[in-house]
Amino acid sequence: MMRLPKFEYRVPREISEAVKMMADAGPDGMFVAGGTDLYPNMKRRQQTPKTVISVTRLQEMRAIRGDAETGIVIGPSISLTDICNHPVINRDYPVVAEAARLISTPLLRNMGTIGGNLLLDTRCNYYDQNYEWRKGINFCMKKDGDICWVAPSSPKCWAVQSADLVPVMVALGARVKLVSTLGERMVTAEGLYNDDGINYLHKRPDELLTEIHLPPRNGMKAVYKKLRRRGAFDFPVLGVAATLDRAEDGTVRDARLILGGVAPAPIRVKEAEGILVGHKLDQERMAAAAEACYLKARPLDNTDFLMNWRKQMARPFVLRALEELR
Amino acid sequence: MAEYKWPEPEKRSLIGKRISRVDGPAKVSGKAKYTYDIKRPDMLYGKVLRSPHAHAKIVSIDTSAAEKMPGVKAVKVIQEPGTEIKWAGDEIVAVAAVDEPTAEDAIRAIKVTYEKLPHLVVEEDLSAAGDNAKPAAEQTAGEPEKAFGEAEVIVEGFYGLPVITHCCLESHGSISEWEGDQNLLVHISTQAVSNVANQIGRPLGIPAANVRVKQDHIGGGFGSKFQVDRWDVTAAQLSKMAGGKPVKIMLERDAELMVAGIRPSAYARVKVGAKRDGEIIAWQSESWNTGGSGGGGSPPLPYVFSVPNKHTQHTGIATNTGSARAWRAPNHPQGCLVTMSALEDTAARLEMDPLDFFLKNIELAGRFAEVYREEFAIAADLMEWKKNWHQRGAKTAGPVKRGLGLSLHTWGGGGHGSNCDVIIHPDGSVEVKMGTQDLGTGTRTAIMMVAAETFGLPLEAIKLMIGDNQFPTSGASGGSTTIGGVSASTRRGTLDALEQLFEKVAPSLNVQPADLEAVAGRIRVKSDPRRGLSWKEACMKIGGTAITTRGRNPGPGTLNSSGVGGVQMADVSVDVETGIVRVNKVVAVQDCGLIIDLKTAESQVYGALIMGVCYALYEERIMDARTGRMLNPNMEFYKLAGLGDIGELVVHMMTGKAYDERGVIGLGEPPVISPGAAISNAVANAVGVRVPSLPLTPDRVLAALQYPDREGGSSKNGGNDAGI
Ligand SMILES: Cc1cc2nc3c(=O)[nH]c(=O)nc-3n(C[C@H](O)[C@H](O)[C@H](O)COP(=O)(O)OP(=O)(O)OC[C@H]3O[C@@H](n4cnc5c(N)ncnc54)[C@H](O)[C@@H]3O)c2cc1C
Ligand code: SF4
Repeated sequence: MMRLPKFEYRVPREISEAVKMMADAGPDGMFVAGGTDLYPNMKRRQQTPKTVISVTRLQEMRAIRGDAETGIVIGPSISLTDICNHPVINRDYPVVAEAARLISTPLLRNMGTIGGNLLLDTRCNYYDQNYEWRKGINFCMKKDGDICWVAPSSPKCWAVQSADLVPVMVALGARVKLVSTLGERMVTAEGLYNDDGINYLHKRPDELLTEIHLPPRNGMKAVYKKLRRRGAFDFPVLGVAATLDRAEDGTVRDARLILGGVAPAPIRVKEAEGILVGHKLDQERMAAAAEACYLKARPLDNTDFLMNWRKQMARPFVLRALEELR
Repeated sequence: MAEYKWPEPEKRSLIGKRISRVDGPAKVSGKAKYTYDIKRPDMLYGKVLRSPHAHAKIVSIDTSAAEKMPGVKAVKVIQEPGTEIKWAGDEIVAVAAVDEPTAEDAIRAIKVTYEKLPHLVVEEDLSAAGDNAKPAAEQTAGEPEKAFGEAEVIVEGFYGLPVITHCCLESHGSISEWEGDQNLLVHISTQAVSNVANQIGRPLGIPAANVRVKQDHIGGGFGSKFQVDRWDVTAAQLSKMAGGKPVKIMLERDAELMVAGIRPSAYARVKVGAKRDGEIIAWQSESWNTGGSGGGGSPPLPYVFSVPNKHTQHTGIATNTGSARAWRAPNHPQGCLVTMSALEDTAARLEMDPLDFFLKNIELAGRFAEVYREEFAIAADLMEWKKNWHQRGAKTAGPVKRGLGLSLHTWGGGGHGSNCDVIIHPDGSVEVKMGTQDLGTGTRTAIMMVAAETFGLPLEAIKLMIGDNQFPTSGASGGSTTIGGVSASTRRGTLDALEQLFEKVAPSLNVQPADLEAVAGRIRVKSDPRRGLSWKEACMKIGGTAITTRGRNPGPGTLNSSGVGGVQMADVSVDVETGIVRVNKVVAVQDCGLIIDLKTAESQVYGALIMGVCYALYEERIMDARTGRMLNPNMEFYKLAGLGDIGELVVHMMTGKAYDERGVIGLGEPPVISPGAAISNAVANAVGVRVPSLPLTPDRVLAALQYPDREGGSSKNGGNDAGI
């Protein structure tokens, strides 16, 4: 049974008003942007806020400023469709538009926002089910229950980080601004995610995401590869975001390799980056980097497909990402 | 008496043409009302509490809290304490309330306790089935042992396809309301409008004659909507408890996927014996499947090819899962996948082009050997088979390998029993009434085409009424028997009516009735077409009382028959580093006797190919061994192909004298039989090894490449046992 429970809906016009509303609502409040994640979750009773505060009318959060030279600031309430079509993003950070285009379907991209994507709830086959289904198995640790069906002996929840833009933002070295009545702070995208399916963000629930900062490009190239069952609609079961910055002679100055969709948080594979930095890209180094990523991927059996295969796929996907950047 | 036959090709104005379906505009504009859309005055909403356990005994049920809730009008216990529940999702209690949220809250307030019992929900591994496995008798024909001894090549393999669901876009359900306590009105999503009254009247204890049944449009059935279901009876009971107010129960998506019908799985170990020149001489198979708690029918093995020496053995496995229902061509897709895969593997071992191999053995296909031969020639042309086919394992550079595969199939599809009333009014208007249903296949369009053709009128001149059991009974739409039934009854009824009209008109033209014909809106003299009357003028001769006739099937004359053959070819690309399969193109060449509407006939085949790509590449019911629950009871996890996943579809319908002569034959089922086999064969051709079971997901493809000798074993079914 998939109906929304009753809740209070509030529409602030300014950031200060929004965070004040959240402070008033307390732990029963949640922000909502496009609602493509939150509302289905509420229908399934995975999340049950009493007060839902919309961020879609916050004009301050709907603009894009800057360019490749200065870096850009993206308002989190911008729809994924607008991200796909935005001229500055397509020119200066095309990987962001490419990854956004791979998210779900056109209808959901019209509603879903980039901010909502970065804060997407983690996912799991035993969790993304309606209330009756979950009740039937006595729930699980992530919500209302006390065991994990995926790894019963584990004290931790392994629900999967499944947003396509998350590994991309980590790879690009993005930073985000978080605002609450207590003040504001900047956090790196890398530092935003926590390797725990339940507390998957290093962000307090009352903090509003107001800005996404991408650093100047500086000749860096980036690519994102997504694995899923069908050509549209499906969440990633593996996402590989890679960036490379190379000197004139081809020596890798900086590299980032991030795996999404295979753990509760995006995985930055520093071992693989280390293999590449300071060298020219040849087949052997790329294969070694891919191997390092393979070793780091640790999917469990809680999404589509066999987990072993998802782990294996890290190799060709990283290799293909690097080949595309070469 | 009229001569009951189809018009000669040169005389047909509508039959055999591409005519758009008459209800298309209503459907695309949203005007068409499905059962799901029906809202009756004062309607109550019914919801069902379902078993969370795959196997359990009901210990206690407490509905008191639900009964006290404001807005709750009726609560009905469907299965009492003490009952053994055999699958998750089975109905326990139902409520009717003023709106859906209230009904849902009431359901959540009901307390049921269960004693859990051990369950079995996966069946791919036969050895794990224990007592739930029920072997059927072995069957032998010819002398298999001797034949295998004489075989020059013996090929062994394992093949399978999982349980899938019908996944109707309009879920099952109905709305029942009482007029007094003896008369029931039912709006129901059904494949058998004329059969509902009997089925629902009996458990309710009222005569079928007191039940009125209606359905305008249906959002898919595929064989799962022949029967009145327990929830339909429950809706009527709730309605009665609530003083006769309409009660609507439509299944939620999860219930639709868990309890409203599955296609049984099939797994088989097969051995094929052949001569070096490709002659197939021996077959042996050990197969098993599940169709839920009652097991499922067994697939026909070997399929189509009657191998002279064979030994087969089948085991049904009872599992704690929702029950099987007829799924578009019951048992054939399973038999086809197993057989065509094993035969293609044999051809590959012989290093023969499977097209040559199949043609060499085509006489084993019996009655339709010649049809298959003709169809293969056309399909091979459309696929450029001879140019594009290569020996197994593409030798091209790069990770993406291309391959071709083929398959063939057969089906019955005679005409079911059908009756209709045909009325020609003195003002020239025409009515046809029939208690049939249009499953979206174009039944309305076909009936109107036949009537209009007989009367020499345009399609719009026919007023057709179906989807109501007050019209003459017509059979269930299943087994591909609808087109044969309704076209024949309509043809007979309209020919009889026309004969009566000729009798009325003939005197005024000074000719015998038999000298007349109805062409292009006129009743005219055959030998002198300028002499005649317009349809309207002719009908004025009828007098005060309209002409009424009853068309029937079966009846005199040969208007339909049974039995078709079809072939399909698939072209795929497979990435051997990831295992991802893409369908580039599927060619279907299909026979169905005389075609009424070429366009809706082709649509049937397109739809079947789409369904085929879905079950070949994406679709599977995933059961979790640990919890006994279906892991993908929603449209997000139960994967159907999207538009971009389908590839190019090419459909060629066989037409011409030899096909016309067989009369009208059904088409709904046959084209969905072969896609799984053709695509699986194409993948094997591309990558060089057989991927043993469908769907051909990338993890299965890669597992097959890495462990070519492993039997199945790559299924996701059963859930995670790896721990950390
Ligand atoms: C069928 C389906 C398929 C999908 N496929 C994909 C896919 O392929 N890839 C993918 O990445 N995603 C997918 N999604 C998820 C989702 O549509 C997208 O991630 C989308 O970008 C979420 O954005 P939203 O604005 O709708 O988020 P919302 O639902 O509005 O919010 C998501 C979360 O973020 C919080 N939040 C939102 N904005 C803020 C803010 N400014 N400050 C603080 N908290 C905030 C909300 O409280 C909520 O917890 C899919 C969803 C569905 C239903
Ligand atoms: S990983 Fe375990 S605890 Fe987390 S959502 Fe899945 S089943 Fe629940």
